[in-house]
Order: sequence, then structure tokens, then C-alpha cells
Amino acid sequence: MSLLDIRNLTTRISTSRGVMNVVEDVSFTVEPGECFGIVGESGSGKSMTCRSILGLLSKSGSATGAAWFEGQDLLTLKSGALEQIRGRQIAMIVQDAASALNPVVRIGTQIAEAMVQHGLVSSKAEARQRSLDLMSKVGIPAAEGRIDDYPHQFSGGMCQRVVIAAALSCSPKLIIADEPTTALDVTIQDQILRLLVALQAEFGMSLILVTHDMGVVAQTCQRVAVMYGGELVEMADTASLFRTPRHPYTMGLLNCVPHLDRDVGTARLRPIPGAPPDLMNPPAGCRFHPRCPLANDACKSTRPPLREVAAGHFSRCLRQDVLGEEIWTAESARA
Amino acid sequence: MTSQVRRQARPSRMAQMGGLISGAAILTVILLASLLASHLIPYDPIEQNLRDTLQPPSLAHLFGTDNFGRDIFARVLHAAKLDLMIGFLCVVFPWMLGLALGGIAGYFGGLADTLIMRTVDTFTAFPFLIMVIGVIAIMGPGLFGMYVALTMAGWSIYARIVRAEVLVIKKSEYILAARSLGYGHGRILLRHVIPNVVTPTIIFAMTDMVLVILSTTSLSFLGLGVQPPTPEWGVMIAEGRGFILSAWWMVTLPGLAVVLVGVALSLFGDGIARILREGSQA
Repeated sequence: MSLLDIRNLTTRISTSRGVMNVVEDVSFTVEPGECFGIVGESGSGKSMTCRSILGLLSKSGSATGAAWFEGQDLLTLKSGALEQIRGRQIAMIVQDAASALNPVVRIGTQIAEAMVQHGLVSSKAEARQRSLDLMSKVGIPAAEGRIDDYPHQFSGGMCQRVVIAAALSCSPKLIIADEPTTALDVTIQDQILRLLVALQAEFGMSLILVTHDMGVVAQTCQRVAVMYGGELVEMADTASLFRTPRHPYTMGLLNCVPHLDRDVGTARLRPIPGAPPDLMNPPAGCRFHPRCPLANDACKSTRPPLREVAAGHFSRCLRQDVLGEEIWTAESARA
Repeated sequence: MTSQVRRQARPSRMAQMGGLISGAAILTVILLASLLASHLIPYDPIEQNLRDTLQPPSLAHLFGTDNFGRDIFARVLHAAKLDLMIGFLCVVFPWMLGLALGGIAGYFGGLADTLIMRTVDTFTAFPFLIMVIGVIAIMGPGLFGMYVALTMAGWSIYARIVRAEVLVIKKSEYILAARSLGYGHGRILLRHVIPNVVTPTIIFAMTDMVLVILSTTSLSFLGLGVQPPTPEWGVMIAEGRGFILSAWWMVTLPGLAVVLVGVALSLFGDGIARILREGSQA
């Protein structure tokens, strides 16, 4: 049985300009012990999907559909019951670790706070000891000397380790990492990803890794979902998504990743022309059609369903027949 | 030319600290003298001595005596204790009230926000002194009435400051992180939001204290605050009013005490505010 089963999740945000569907009809599952990736560019609805699952939308947002977690629909839970699950069963790691820590609270206190909140420690000494253990577990050297420091005394990478320690503290079954490495430089990114994957294996947790970096996905995830304009456009296991992508947007994204073996000095990267859709007025039909080199009349009028195009491989593209290697040629990029 | 302009716009570190240190020094001296007043001066501040009325300043009576023969220096020092205490408490009470209500309004928003902030609007619609005098008229003159009146007139500004800060903090990543770890609203508000909004309120409280002490003396001068024969600067100035031509010291010296405390508090408050502001920017 899946650990998390998202069905037809739709998230609406009402703004002064009107109502916006930032997440539309998204369904996926996360299996126990699995690392599931969600990729997409800024504004594609990745973060909103995560926040909807945990009931962390602002007052102007509302989510419909279902998010089944251990026999409970998270979307219908009362806020008190949801607080019991947040941190204890599902923890989230937010994007910018340096600002995810309260500047006026000591590191050790922040790591232990979730355990205190969920009643997992009975004394201050125990909380402190658990914090120390977690700090060494996430690779903060000389934990004893740093536990009483404040966040501004920590580097970005170290802050992210602290945030991970706090998320791990209650041994949740699922961790949602929302762009955990975006604010870090590349070498630290790699360390943090390795740490996350190692901890995930050690604790037997599931991990939802949200990112815009295809490289990060390839390195860590077993299955991937690609989001575009609030919709899930393709979902498959990582190997087949990278080897045989079945959606032009995914192909475009893969084209944007530089390859050391063929691109250095010779070819330019091929960006996807155009801009992401305005979610206030999404294009009719396929949301990607204004940027798609394969778009025909059907794409402009019919909203494609998410169909299984190969075993375990789902795509929201009507033109499966003409999807080929070289759709993102230089000409189409210029067109 | 430009360097000159820059120097004017930004006083040197030494000058900044100088204000703070001299303000703190004056306040410390006044505070110590007032606390030790009964040991320093052999005269009782209240007991009348009708053989020594209206004596000019001398070595025996540094500030002279008043129309009841009481030593004015003793009365000024004893008054300092009372005035500084009122100044402190009448800032702390509105500060706490404003912090609590502004925090709730900003954090929870919606109906709580509307109710609290419209109340704030109502309170700020009245001029400060009118409000204070109005409340004292209901409560009756005296120390307790003055505490209530100054708290009611002062809290709304704190609530405004706090609410504005909370609205910013509420959107920060660490509040989202705290929510994602399942913390309850009470814990988030008390442990994560409030500690981050305290600084600007303290900066304001430093300047507010001067205003409150001046209001205290004004009210007592008008007979609405501290009642005679309790020594209080405003009371003393009011009592000396009738003798201003024959015994200038009865009015002038308590007046100078008010000025001195006001200046010292301003210097001290500015210094503290500057340090806190720099700290919160770093």
C-alpha cells in the first residue's frame, strides 16, 4: 500500500485579480522507503502541491481532492489533528535554510522543539542529548560546542543540516524537501543531497524531493513527476524518464542540462522558448501548446488527459506518435 | 565638501556613545540619590516645620524650604523615586497590553484583527491628554487612576507597531517551518513571533518614557495625579506657583529636576535605540 496517495489535488488561490488554479488535478503516490522527485520551473505548482498536502496554505488558498496518508485524508483533517501529523509523521524542509531558522532561538532549542511539541522527550536534559545526537547524525562537527549558538553563527550548509536535524527529530515516515539545496552552492548541494539520501535509507523514510534541477533528480530519485503550469505532465521511474521522455516539456528540460561530453565549447544550450503560462488565464487545450514545437489544432482545443503510455510511464501529451529525439532543434527554438 | 556633509549626517561612534553614557550616568545618580534619599538628607519630605518656612537655598537646605518649612531637596529626591517608577510602569503596562493585542491581531488576522485594530483606531482618535484626563475623570484622581489612564492612552501605539511587525514575521520562512513541524499557534506566537518583534517596541518605549514622565508631572500639576502632600515634581510646582515672585526656588528647582530627567532619559533612550537598531540591521 502506498504511504501517500494524492488524488486529483486541485489548489485554488484567490487574489485581487481573481481565482487562480495553482495546482490542477494532480495525482501521484509515494511508496514506503521511496524517493519521489517533483520537478518543474518556478511557478509550476511544486511548492504549492507540498503545502496543500500539509495544510500550510494561506487563508486565500483552498485545496480539493484527497491526500490519503495512513488511512486518513489529510485535506479533510481538522487543524488540531493535522498538527499531530506535521512534524511527527510528515516533516517538511523548506527552501532557504538560513531563513527557516528563527534568528533569536538557539540551535539546540530549535532542533529539540518538535520533540517537545510532540511529547517525545520528558526532560530538558533528554531534549539536549537528543539534539546533540541529531547534530552529529547530520554531520555538524563539534556539536557540543555549537548547540548553544544562534543561526547567524552558522553557514548556509550548516543551517540546512540543522533544519534537516529538526525535521528528522521525530522520526517521521515522510519528509517533504522543498528545494532543499537551491540556496546552497554546488559542492554543499551535493553534500546535503547525499546526506538526505543516506538518512532516508537509514531511517527507512520516504522522501519527496522538490527541485528544478534535473541533475539532482537523476542523482537521488527512484520516480519523478514533472509539473508544468500547475499540472502534472509526465511521471515515470527516473531511468525511463531520462532515457525515453514522453512529453515535449520534459524533453526541453533535459535539453537545458549541459552535457560535458558534447556541449563544451561547441553547442549552446537550447532553452525552451516562451514563458510559463499565466495561471490566471491558462491557455485552452494543452497548457504547453504555445511553447510546443509539435502543437497542432487538437492541442489547442483538447485538454490532454494523463495517460499511461508505457508501463508505469504517464504523459499528458496528445502527440505520442510524433514524439522523437530531435524535436527541440535549433530551428524550433528560434521559431 | 562631501566628507564634511557625510560627517554631519553621521555622528562619530564616540559621539553616539557619549550621549548614552552621559544619560546613563545622570540617571544612575538620580536613581541612587532617590533610593538613598532618607539616608542622605536628615529632613522628612512630608513633615511640616513651620519655623523654617520659605528659606532660600543654603548649606542647611540645598534647595531651600517651602511654605510649610519642608526641605525641597528632600522632596525633589523622594519625588524622583515616584516619578521614575510611574514613568517605568506606565510604559511597561501599555507595552505588555500592546504586545499581546497587537500580536493576536497581526498573527490571527480576520475578525480578531478587525476588532482589535478598530479599537486601536478609536483610542488613537482621542488626543493623548484628553484621553488621559477623561479616564481620570471617570476613575477619580490619584495614583491608581493615573496608571489606568496612561495605560489606556498608551497601548494603542504599541499594538500598531507590533501588528505591523507581526505581519512581516508571519510570512517568514521560519514560521512556515515551525508550522510544518506541527507547532501550535500559541507556541508559534509566543516563542517565535513575539521575540522577533520586541526590538522596535523597546526603541519606541525609550522615547515614550519621557513623554509619560512629562504627562505624570502635568497631571499632578493639574491636581489629577499624585495628591499632596506626597512629594511629586508636578505637585511641588503647583504648590510653589503662588510664591513664584517671593520664593523662586519652590517652582524652579523641581522644574529643573523634570528637565534633567527628561534630558537624561532622551540621551539614554536614543543611545539604546541606536544600538538596538544597528543590532537588528546586522
